[in-house]
Amino acid sequence: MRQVLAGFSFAVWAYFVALQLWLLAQAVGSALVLRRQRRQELFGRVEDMLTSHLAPPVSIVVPAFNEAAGIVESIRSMAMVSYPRFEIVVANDGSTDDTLQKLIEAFDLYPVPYPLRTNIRTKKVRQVYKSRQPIPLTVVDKENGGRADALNAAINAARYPYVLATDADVILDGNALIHAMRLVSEDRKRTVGVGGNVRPINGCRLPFGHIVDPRVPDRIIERYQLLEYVRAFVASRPAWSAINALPNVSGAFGIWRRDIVVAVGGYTSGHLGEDLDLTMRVHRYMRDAGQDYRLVYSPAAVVWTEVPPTRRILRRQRIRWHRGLMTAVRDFRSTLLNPRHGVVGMVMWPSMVLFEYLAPIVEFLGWLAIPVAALTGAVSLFSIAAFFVLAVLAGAVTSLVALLLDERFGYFNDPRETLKLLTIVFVENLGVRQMTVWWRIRALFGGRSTQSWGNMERRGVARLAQSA
Amino acid sequence: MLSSLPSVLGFTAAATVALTVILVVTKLVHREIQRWQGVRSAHYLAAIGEMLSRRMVPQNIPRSWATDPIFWDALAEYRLLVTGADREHVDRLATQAGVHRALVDRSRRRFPSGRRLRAVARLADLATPLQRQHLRSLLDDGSPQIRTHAVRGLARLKDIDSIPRILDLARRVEPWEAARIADSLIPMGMPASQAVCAWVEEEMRRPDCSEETVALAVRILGSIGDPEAEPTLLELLKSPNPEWRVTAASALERTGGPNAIEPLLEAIDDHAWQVRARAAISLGAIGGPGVARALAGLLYDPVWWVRQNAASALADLPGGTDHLIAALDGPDPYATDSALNQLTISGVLAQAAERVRSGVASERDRRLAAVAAST
Repeated sequence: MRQVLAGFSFAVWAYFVALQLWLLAQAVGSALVLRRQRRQELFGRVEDMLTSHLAPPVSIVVPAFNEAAGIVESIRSMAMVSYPRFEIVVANDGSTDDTLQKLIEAFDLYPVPYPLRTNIRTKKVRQVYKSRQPIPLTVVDKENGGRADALNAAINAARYPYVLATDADVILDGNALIHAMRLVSEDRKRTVGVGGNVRPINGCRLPFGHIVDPRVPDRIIERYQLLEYVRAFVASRPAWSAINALPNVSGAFGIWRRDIVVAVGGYTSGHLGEDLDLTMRVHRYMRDAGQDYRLVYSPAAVVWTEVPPTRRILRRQRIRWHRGLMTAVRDFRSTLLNPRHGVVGMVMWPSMVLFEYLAPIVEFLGWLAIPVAALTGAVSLFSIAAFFVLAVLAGAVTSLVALLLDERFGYFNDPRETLKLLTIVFVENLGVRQMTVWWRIRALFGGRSTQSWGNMERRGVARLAQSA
Repeated sequence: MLSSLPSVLGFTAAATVALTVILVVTKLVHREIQRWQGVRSAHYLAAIGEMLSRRMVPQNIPRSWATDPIFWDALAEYRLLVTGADREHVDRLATQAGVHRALVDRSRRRFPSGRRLRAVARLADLATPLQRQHLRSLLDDGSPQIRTHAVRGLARLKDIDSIPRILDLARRVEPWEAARIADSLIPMGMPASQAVCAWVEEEMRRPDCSEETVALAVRILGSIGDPEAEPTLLELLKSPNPEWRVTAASALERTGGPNAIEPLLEAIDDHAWQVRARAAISLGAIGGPGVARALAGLLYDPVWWVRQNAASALADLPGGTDHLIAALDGPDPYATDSALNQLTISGVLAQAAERVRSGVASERDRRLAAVAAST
């Protein structure tokens, strides 16, 4: 028994070392990619693309369900995006609040008999609206069918060959679309999708629909998510993008070639991780078809989103996310270690299963086994204490490397903001992280999730703006 | 393995402390650099503005200005903002301050590479014909970023002679660089189109012809919009390469004249739907006899984009609206759909409904209003 416990403790330790090395390898890869992209962008005058005839037009598709709190500000910020040709298509997914009414009043909408292509099957569309204001805005009012269904309806109504799938509670950075679409225009033939850099808006000041003063939020739970986003979007995705194995194009900012989305059947209705599911289906579709393609990530395409401000909402979100991952692991089991799917099947998907899907199980079992091993004398108390300190420090190293990479954006340089960041780097491993592991365990064993929309109780960008 | 834990722990602790210190120092240094750069930038912008408004070029500009990247940035920003005599004055100021010489010297030194890149980027913004030869020499540089900025600088100087060399460069480089090069050539405008046409014609004859670069060059021609490029584009419209036909049909929207009508009418029967869709748009832009009737036939095309583009083109043509209205009663529901969509977008249905409401409606208005109400 003692040998089994000692062996298991050793396995947990080995898993932990492998995970940290894997994260560091991603960070190093990301650093190289960020350096190269920075050089490509350096003095590249992104604004030149505003007058470029090579810029492909884009439809910004926005699903909305009970988003009355911030939809008007979000659409205004989208309308202010710098790009030569774009339209905004909002799909109101049978909201039960006054989302549609707010849109009608704010943008002077009027009903039009707009013939929709049903490239992707969706719930019934009740009415299509256009704006009388000089904003290229179309609003599709439809019956409730979930986020994926709303996105599909908006994609049906989109006129342009590229769609930017985003959320109704985000603020797009002024040049986000230019930065992302430059990757498309540079290699139109092969580029099927571009992911953007998502950052938490909580704590920021945003007068007039623009972020003017990015700040680190005050609440620990929000700060923790800021750190998570920096690790994921700055220290991980660039590396995946470089080897054409991006695991997920975020739902907050994902540009897709419309015909490819239609070819794979659009977003899967009822899926709790529809973004991950679509990304994986596009990978599988392109690789099965033997087509040369690229799915890339643009760190300069920044989009700001509200993250859960309370533990209760975060718990529901994390359970939903992990359920989505579970479904994806089941749906794409044929991709796992499939040499035909190249680096996606042999590297990316196995690592997702090993370090994302199984991580909470291993970590949780570690918590259970290591104290028992200590009590039975299988492992010394010193080893356990040292292991715990090592876990905290190794996590801090990964976070610090991610924050150093994040310096390219020049955010949070005020000493107070730096102090807030450093606090969360060390505090996150003293409870917050363990809490999320527990929620993911609950997701595995039937914890209560949110509805498919994951309708987070939002404070709304309008309120954030007022509090600025 | 557990025996090595203390040493691993010690190493990780040291790494954590080191990274924390590096992060704090980096953030503080960045903050001060941003602040200091802001002050200097404001100072330079104010000084340049003063010199411009007084039309003066001082003889004793501090030497340090010429080598200061912030001064280069300020000059480049001003040069972009102003036009005509003011722009020439900025050029004189840059010459008098010795900026061009400093930029050329800096771009000849390979390290630090970031500063070199910055110098070449600013040289592209500020160069005069005297630096043309230096920019040409940078086309052979090993760094793609340096090459891209060299092309931008040559395009700004309208160096037509360099075009074949630049397009040859686009053949060899990665797609992102080729796209950036193509974007840079567009501001050269009409003087460039003949050189681009000559390059395209020669390239098409080569056995190792680069299809992508030809397509890119055709997009440049389409963006420049020079009617002189029409013969080359018409030749490409008949090529067996579908991508060339698509880009040529697209480019003819801005460059095509009456001679392009017949080939474009043939192109609307192309087996590639993308060619038909682009030809429809170009025909709508050029117009001419028989075009509306031919486009009305495209309303029955099996591909949505072709029908949509045909409907959109018809809306811009004299008599085109009649064809769209006729399609409302046609047997094909998809053609009706496209026509209805276009009549809605172009406001024909709304105008008809308005006239019905104000009591000045014709029979046609009443019919259209009924269609609008029924949908």
